Amino acid sequence: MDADAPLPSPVAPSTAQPGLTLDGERWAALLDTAGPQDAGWLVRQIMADLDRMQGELMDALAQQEPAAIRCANHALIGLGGTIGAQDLHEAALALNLAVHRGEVVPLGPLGAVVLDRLAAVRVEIIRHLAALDRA
Amino acid sequence: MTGGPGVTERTDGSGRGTPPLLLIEDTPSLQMIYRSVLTAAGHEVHIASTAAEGLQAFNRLSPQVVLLDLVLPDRDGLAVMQDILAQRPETNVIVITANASINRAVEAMRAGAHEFLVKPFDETRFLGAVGNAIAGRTSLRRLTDALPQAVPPVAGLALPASQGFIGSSEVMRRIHAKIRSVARSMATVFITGESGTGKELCALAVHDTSARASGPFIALNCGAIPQDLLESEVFGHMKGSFTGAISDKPGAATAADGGTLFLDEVCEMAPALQTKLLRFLQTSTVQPVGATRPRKVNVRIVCATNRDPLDAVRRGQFREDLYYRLFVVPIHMPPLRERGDDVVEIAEAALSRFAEEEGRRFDGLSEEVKDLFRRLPWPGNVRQVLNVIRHVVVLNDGGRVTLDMLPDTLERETVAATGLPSQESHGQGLPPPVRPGGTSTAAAAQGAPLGLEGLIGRPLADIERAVIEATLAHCDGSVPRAARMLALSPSTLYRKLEAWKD
Repeated sequence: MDADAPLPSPVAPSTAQPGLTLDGERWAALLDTAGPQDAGWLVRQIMADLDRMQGELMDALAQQEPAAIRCANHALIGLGGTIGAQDLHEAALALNLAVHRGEVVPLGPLGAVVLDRLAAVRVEIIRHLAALDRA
Repeated sequence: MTGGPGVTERTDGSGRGTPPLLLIEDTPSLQMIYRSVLTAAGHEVHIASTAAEGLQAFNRLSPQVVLLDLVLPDRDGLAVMQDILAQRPETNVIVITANASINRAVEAMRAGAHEFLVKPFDETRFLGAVGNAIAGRTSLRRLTDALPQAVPPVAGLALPASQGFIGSSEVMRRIHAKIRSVARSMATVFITGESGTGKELCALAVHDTSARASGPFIALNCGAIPQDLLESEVFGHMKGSFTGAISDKPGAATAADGGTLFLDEVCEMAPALQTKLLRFLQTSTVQPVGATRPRKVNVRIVCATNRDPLDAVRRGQFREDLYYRLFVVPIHMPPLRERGDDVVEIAEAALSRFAEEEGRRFDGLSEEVKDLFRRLPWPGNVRQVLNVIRHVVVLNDGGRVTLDMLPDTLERETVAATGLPSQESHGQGLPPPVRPGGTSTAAAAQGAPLGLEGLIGRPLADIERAVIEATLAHCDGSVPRAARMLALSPSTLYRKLEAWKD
């Protein structure tokens, strides 16, 4: 075992429905925790954080700067897993592992996968946000 | 939950009498989520978004518990923790990170972290960690005058001759060196290795080489004691605390006071007892079943398992926080098949000892026997070698040990246990001799003439098992890695392994 290698995530398997990028149970639990008054605020903040992380990751990937990639990606691993975006979380973990191993070449494709999944998560969050606004 | 982005420090929660917490986390949405969970549980939470703000808040508020993200925009979280602990060593810091590696966790725990949480974590684990941190703080306050005495450094220690390891292979030399270095500290040692590789001897060597050598060495096999009795065995009980408790009984933790407590097969411990063990590690106190007060003890913990402890964590069988507490200095005992000529040294030493015990005279092992011993994969490791030699000594009068003195079943059983084709049935031969310095069974098998011809005529189920077991050996026993290599799901592999136990 490579003791420096990132550990696999202890997160429970995703229960996301086919076609959806967010684990519905986890997402609902988050909104419950926030409460009806603050749920909208939390979702907007998650969206704002994901937007920022997306920008930071795109910049870091464009510059092929491992430390910056690692930093932006680290935040995505944490937030992605916490909001139940398991596919995003796993893609970010894979990118993290590649950065850790110093694999320069695959960073682009792996980064593209992360950004692709991030985009899908953002689309779904926008839908949730619209539903919250309607309610 | 109130406030919005840009607010760098907020206080929430009525506190309801619980000590305040400081959360240092730079992602605003995660701040909000953690804070919501904590305030809903009745905690008062102060929030900071950067290392600088966090340290300012720490100086101003003197919180008892700090939740600290390891990756902060302005500074490394570990450095922040060191500053915090330098100022107030009694603070319990719960380290939170998405960048989880064993080294990072060990680094954090060695630097004094109270807990190590990997994002994402569930609410129960999060609140449990905070609760433990608060409880740990309370215990420390109550017991300040009875803190464990630091063990003086021991310079130039050498392994005592009686430590029991035989074998001069390079891999064992590295183990000896590791034992010498670790023995000087109080760090918890986690020994892994297959059954029969000498994990208890290793634990004993750690004890014998340490400054606690004159203290007791208490070994407890967590897998061999019924779970409902294990708590009493570890922590003791008071007379009348349950049916059958006819007198006070000090547990193993108390008996090991001033020495070393060796917990073998620690992954077999029931979850409830794992919680108590964690608390014991955090507070250095034991509370026997039925006792009203805890008692301070000064014990070094060495534990062992023949499983992959991380895999037990992944499967939810072993607490992650306990794992990080225990897995501070890992020592992996190599299987005998990776120890080159050690098998011959061990067999000859055992022959001398058993012959003396039985009052017989043997003239060592013949070259054929040595050659066979080098080629066998020894799935039972050292224990199996000792059994074979005991058999030889008991059933023969003496002389040079030849092939015909060995148990008839030795080669067959050894081969069957590893799932490799046998010489008798297929003429393919055993794995080639293991080179000193060691290659794994699987690596050896790859080098062996194990082509399709060697598999013809064997039941498909046997072939599948052989391939799976060789892949597992290649992956150092890691089921998830082996599953990936075999393009199976880990659960399928676990099911197959479970079925083969029957």
